[in-house]
Amino acid sequence: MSSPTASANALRGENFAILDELLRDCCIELMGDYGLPAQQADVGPETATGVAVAAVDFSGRDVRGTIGLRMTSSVVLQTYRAALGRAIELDSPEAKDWSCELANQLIGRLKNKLRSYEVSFNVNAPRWLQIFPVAELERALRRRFICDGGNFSGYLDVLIAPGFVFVPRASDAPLAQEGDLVLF
Amino acid sequence: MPKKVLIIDDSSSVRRQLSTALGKAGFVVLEAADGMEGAEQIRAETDLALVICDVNMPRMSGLDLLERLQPELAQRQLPVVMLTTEGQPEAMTRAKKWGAKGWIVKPFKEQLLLGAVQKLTQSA
Repeated sequence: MSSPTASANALRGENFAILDELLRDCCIELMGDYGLPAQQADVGPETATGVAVAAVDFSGRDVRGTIGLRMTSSVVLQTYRAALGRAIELDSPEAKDWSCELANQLIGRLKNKLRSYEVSFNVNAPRWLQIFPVAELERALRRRFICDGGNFSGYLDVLIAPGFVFVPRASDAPLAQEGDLVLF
Repeated sequence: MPKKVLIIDDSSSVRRQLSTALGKAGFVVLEAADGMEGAEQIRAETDLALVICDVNMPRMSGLDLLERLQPELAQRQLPVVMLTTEGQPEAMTRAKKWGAKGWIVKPFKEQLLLGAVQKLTQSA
């Protein structure tokens, strides 16, 4: 018979495995929608220079934390060009805003996917990070990807309410997906 | 005479993306960076044909804007389309209840968006 601590740890492991998979799917789908197919890579040490980092805090009854994107310059520039059809400088306010928008779309995707687990939360405004948050990364779930000309990582630093279990549930209401347009 | 569309979004990139697409299609585009600024522009610009509004924004959310301006929007028959990263049915239901005419989940497809904008501004 397993101890309460062992059971709690197993539960915690299952919860984080689900979130880890969702984070992976969200990252791949996000960049794929901007014409940047990506392949998962080994999670190695991250460099703090030549990258853009944006994060979004979220909080709800069952989960709260931060989701973030760390992208090499080519990822920011290529996705911007795909969306807006023009080039930008990495150091420009527009590139920072775009990095934040990508992080915003990443948390939107996660929120949409978590609906099937009946998990919801409020989302704060995205923030561009001047300093790469190494300490946050060390305790966070992290997925790293390589793509044409660069790489990016998605990270998810999350606290789950004690005893909460991610169980997929059938949702009766239709959910609009990314790219959908619904007229009322 | 070109029709006037107001874009309310706290992301300058998204505003530029929409502005470029709508400008190419012949619309005159105005921009606001949050719900508060958007509400002011809606009141000031009496000849708007459509509003495209983000949901999560600082100062005033898109849903709060809809709720506060509902009587005025209804009286002017000014259509509002929400543009957001989320597709939560609860939020969509609230938007519909307060008079929104559509809901788009980012990243938007340009042709789909333009089709909806053309349709909703036909009677304006």
